[in-house]
Amino acid sequence: MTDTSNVAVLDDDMDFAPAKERAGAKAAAWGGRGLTVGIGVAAVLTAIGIALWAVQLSGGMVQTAMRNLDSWGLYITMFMFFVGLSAGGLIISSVPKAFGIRGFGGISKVAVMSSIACTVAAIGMVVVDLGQPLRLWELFAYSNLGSPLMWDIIVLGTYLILSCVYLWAQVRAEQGKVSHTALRVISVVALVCAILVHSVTAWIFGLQQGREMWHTALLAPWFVSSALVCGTGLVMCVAAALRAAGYLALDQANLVRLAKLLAAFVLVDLYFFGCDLLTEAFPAAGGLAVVEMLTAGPLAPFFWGEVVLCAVAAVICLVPSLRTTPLMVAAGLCAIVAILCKRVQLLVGGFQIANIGLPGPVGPMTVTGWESGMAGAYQGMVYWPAPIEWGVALGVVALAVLVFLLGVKFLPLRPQD
Amino acid sequence: MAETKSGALTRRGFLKTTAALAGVAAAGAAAPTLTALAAEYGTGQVAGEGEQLVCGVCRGNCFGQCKINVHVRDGKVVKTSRRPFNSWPEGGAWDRICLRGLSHPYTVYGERRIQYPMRRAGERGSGQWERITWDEAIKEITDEWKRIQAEYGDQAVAYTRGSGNLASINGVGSPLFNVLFNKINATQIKIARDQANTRGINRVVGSLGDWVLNSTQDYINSKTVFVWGANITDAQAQDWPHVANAVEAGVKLVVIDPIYTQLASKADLWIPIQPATDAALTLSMMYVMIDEDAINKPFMKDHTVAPFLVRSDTGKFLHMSDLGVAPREVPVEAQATNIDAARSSSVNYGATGASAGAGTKLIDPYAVLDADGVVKAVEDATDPQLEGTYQFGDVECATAYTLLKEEVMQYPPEKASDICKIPAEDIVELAHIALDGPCIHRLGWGSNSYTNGVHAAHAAITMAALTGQIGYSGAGTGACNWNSGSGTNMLLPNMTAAKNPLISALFLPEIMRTGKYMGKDHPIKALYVYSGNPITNQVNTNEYLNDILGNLELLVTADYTYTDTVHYSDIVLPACHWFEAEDIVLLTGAQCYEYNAKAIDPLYESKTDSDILRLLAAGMGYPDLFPLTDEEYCHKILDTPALAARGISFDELKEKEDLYYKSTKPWIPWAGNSFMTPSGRMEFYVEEPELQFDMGQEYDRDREHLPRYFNPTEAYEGSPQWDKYKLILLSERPRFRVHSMFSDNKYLRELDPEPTVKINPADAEARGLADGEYVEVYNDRGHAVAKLVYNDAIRPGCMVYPKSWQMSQHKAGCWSELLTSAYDPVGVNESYFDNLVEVRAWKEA
Amino acid sequence: MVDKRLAIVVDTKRCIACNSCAVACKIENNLPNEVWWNRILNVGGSNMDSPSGTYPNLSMQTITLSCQHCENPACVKVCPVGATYKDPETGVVRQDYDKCIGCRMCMSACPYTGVRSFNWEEPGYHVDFAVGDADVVPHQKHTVEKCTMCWHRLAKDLQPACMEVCIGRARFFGDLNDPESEVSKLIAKRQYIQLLPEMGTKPSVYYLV
Repeated sequence: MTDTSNVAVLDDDMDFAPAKERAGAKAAAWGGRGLTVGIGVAAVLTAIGIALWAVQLSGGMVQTAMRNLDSWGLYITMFMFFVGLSAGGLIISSVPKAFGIRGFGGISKVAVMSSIACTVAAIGMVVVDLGQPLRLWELFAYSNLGSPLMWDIIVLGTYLILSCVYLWAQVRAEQGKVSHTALRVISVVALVCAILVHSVTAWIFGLQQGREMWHTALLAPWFVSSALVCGTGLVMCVAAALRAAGYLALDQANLVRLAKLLAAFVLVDLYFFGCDLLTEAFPAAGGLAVVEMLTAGPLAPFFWGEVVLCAVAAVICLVPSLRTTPLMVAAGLCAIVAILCKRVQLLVGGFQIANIGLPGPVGPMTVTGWESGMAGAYQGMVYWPAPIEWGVALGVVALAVLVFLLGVKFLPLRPQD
Repeated sequence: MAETKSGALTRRGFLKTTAALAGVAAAGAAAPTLTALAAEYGTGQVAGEGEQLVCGVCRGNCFGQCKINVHVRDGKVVKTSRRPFNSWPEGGAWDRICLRGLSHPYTVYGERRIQYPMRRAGERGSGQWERITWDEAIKEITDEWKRIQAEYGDQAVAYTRGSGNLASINGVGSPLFNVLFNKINATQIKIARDQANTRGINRVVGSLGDWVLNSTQDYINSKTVFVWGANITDAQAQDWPHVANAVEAGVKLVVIDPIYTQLASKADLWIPIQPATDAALTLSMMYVMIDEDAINKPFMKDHTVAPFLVRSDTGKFLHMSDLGVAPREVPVEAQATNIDAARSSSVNYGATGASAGAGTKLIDPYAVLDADGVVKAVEDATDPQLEGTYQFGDVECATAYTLLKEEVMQYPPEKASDICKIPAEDIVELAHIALDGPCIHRLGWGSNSYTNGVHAAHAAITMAALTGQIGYSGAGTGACNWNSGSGTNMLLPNMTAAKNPLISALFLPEIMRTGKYMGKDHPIKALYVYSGNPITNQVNTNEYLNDILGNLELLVTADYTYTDTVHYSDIVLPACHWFEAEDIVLLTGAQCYEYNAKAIDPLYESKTDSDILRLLAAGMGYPDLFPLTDEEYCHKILDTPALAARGISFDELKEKEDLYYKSTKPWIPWAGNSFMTPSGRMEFYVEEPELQFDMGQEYDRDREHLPRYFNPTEAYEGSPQWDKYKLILLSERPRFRVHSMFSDNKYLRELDPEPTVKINPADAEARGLADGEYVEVYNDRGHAVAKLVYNDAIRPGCMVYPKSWQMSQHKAGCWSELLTSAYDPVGVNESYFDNLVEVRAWKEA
Repeated sequence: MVDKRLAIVVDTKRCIACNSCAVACKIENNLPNEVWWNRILNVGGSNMDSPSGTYPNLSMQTITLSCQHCENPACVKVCPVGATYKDPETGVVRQDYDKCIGCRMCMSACPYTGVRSFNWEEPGYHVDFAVGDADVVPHQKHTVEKCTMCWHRLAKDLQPACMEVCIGRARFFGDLNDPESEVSKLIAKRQYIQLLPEMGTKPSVYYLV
């Protein structure tokens, strides 16, 4: 058993004494009408999403805006995004435990819950993107273990289970049923898994020799750093919201510490961003098209959006006088939206520049903006989601929210009273 | 590579490739033989279970007429593929098919198939129809014809066709139509297309057919192939592999065309000529040849009318009889018909051909100047002089060559350069290339499509007279080789002679307006259209609708698919598709008679043209007019002594599926320099121009004696329409259709969805028009709306539209509205490109 | 049995963008509406049949683009269920519609823009019966498909349908492992390019230039 008495800052996460006092007691269900309404709304939106998904499958994915030359869209963008959010949340939660350092005020379980919800969303996004979801079982019968997508399925599945185990372990540890060491081990595994899950997600794109914008070794570390940015932002927002709702008490100092971490992560992410841009631009060769597309072309709003939002978040988090709760929440939101912009840049950007964009016959299935011909289709963004995609995606998000809110209502996620 | 003008594609619009040099690319290295099969995987088809491969012929007017397999499975045509020619066992690029021939599952089963006879239920062109039975339809048609003939005269019933089905029992090659319509003394209306080349060339060398040139297989024997205004790769695609073979073997390809076509992109030399100025270029090339004294004098002396003296008073050749020498009567033997001499496409099969029987003929020699200055009969002169004058009483005579030279000397390269917009030094270079023979000169429908087209062809064939490059391997001048052979019999039982003259479709608007033809009453009140779509394809649509249709009491169309002409008809009859009847095809690009077996039964209520004619004959009171079956008619046509002597008969054709009908392989016309002119020589000086159609129209005979350049009617800077319209409107025959055939084929529409018009970006930008926007092309005659396509291949000052979109496929208007019905009085040819237009953004009303 | 390396050679000097090969493939394989496994692309200006340059200094070529049946295919590596795979005996990259889960990872991985198509809706056809060869595998909604090198014809010892229809006689097919084959001789004797060689996919299609 680790002797933590000499550690300068004691992580109150690991001090389970108060919880032990409630040993055996079931966690009290929490929340009033507001939460119930929230759950209801989330459930309804989820149901609508499922219905729309059924419409998508029966009427055909032609109802989406995806086409042959831009064959991935909102769903895979959101998949990347939610894996990032999820991994980030879990990393925030597990690093303190893994390294035995001070945490963030007992929000660890909430963070893991949010992470689980995001994982559900991520898996959901992949499922609704599939053309033949009923054949999902084939992933386990015919697995091609060389495929990054297969790795991601495996790791994501493992990660979901692990997150649940981790959450369960934290709860049991508080009740004294799981040892510190065991928890430590689980948190290390969780941490590794979280990093792995987002690296593997990155490798779905980064290992592709066919798309210059994606094919960089930097992509996996970059995804991890982006995950940390949006994950931290999410945890900050969730924690602040739950505190405002009276669900938990959170020392402002912990929020500030999260904010400072966010700033650090943003700066690292921007650093990676800069490295990639410079590497693409310097040879003044093929990569220049990518840079031009991002900075001045169809994806410029998302590029500059990310830059500005990251800057705002960093400034807020670094300037002490700006670190008020509302502003820090804003910073968290900015961070989340910034990373969403990043996902859009990556996904749409990968299809925005065709390797072989020569003029030829263009029909309704060729590319989203087909009526304008090959050249015209690439003038603006090659892809923008269709209404049904928004609806289905919203349903998946609603499902994640539903999972989270149900967890908040029924699971002992609160730090000790 | 120059930057293109589009936005996002500029950086990545090019191919990311690196050239990999493998081995040494030896100059002139020949590719492996094109017919070598892969070691294990062969070409061809294997019939699946329950599948038959029926011998068929795909036969639109694309100059291909490819022999194909019609794959039938469960009684349906599921596929087509090329079927090997037995007449060309070596292959040699005769086995072929194209994207249109491959798309037949749709042409047979498409939505616009006419299923049953219909009568219009609303106004003409309203698209409202009621279904009627065949009996009702035939009765109504024939009752109307009888009424109209009683009221207006027999000639008031007219019939016409396009070029939709090139077979000889059903379709445009069928004499059965003449059997019926001659019997009822109807008026045959002939389409007037692609004839300017024919007029210009045939008046110099005589007729072996309408479009005569060395077989494409012979191009490989040339030094240079000149292609004048022919977009071979798209419009006569099946000729391309032979051109490609020639190019690969080192033959030089020179393409003369205002537009940078696919063919031009393959050429060694592309000459971007100003539209309608081909004659000026050719005349200037002749100038260089004469100026450098590089002309082929022995050939000119022996095989052309160059030394013949021409009387300045009559414009005709001087004969010895003029000098008091009496013509001699000599016995002649019955001449075997030249088996390569094909009929013109502008004939009524009821016309009795004059057979060259045995007997006597009068010989009245042409007069020439001998070296000793004495005028003699050309046969008696030892060294006829090419140049010289002779005073015949008070009539000055000059040799035809003297007169030609006078004309040609007016076109030095500097002057011709101003006309055709080609640098003078390029003209000189072209002349030198043409002198370095043997050369083939192939004329397309480019220069042919202006009212000065006859002279462009006349100039080209005259140049062949100066170089002597004609009638041997690798040497020739002509309008591509597409013609039949002789020896078939079109005088079917009950065929009678036509009482009314053949009338050109270009005369029809005037006849309909005035009710007169050649000064006499000739009202026409009924028209029967088969195998054609004149409302889409004929020039000046609004004139057609107002003046022709507006004066018709009855328009009947027989077709297998719903065309614009069907849309405007009063009664529509469902004709069956090519593969739904047995037939023979006697005019093919492969120069073989081809057999088409029946693959499936006629769909819906459709009937063959022959059955429709039987019903119409019965309705007109002649139930026994067609006593034979279709198969018996095939025998009648093909079982002739002349063909039997060459092993050709219908049974033979059925068994062998294809039989070559020319005398040699490859076929080289004018071999031995035996020209089909009165003098037997190349008559570049034309005594009396033959009019394509003689309606008594006025023409300038003096102009026609020799080739010369003069402006077309409209398509030139400074023409009467120039102040309003500044763009010359050209069309192309696109790969996706054959005229208006296949225009509704959905497979092909996926590749080519809507009407477009191509423009040079500079012209578009000057008018503020963007790539891809809908524009209205207009002039005084009408308008057409299409999608604008930027294309640097288009000569500034021109626009090019892929032709024959049906009216119903445009947002408004249609192409033929814009086209002039003005015609050259000699050529009487639809001048498709002789038009000026302007273009603006399309604002929907 | 000796392994083959089946390859396609296209002579761009003879190709005239006629689209016959594309239509032959369309009919032979009973392709659904708006699905084209073989597309004819213009190398030059930004519209079909348009050259690069300014009149009259112009240049134009054509390439036909379908699955390159790479020796080192990017698509085969990433398919999570192995629905796309390389046949070891012929080198053909094949697609099993029954296994495809419609994730479209292969479409993202393949560098050759547009050679793979997804059936975004229930396959529709212009006539109400199957055209082409009876042995063609039926198409499925929500799966990915592409050129099969006419596997059903290879099984009958016949070349792919796009080969013999070429008007220009510009298409050649054969085994690169056989030095006597037409394709081997052509690429030994003539200059050629390949598409995107820097991607490392080692395509089996060669364009003679």
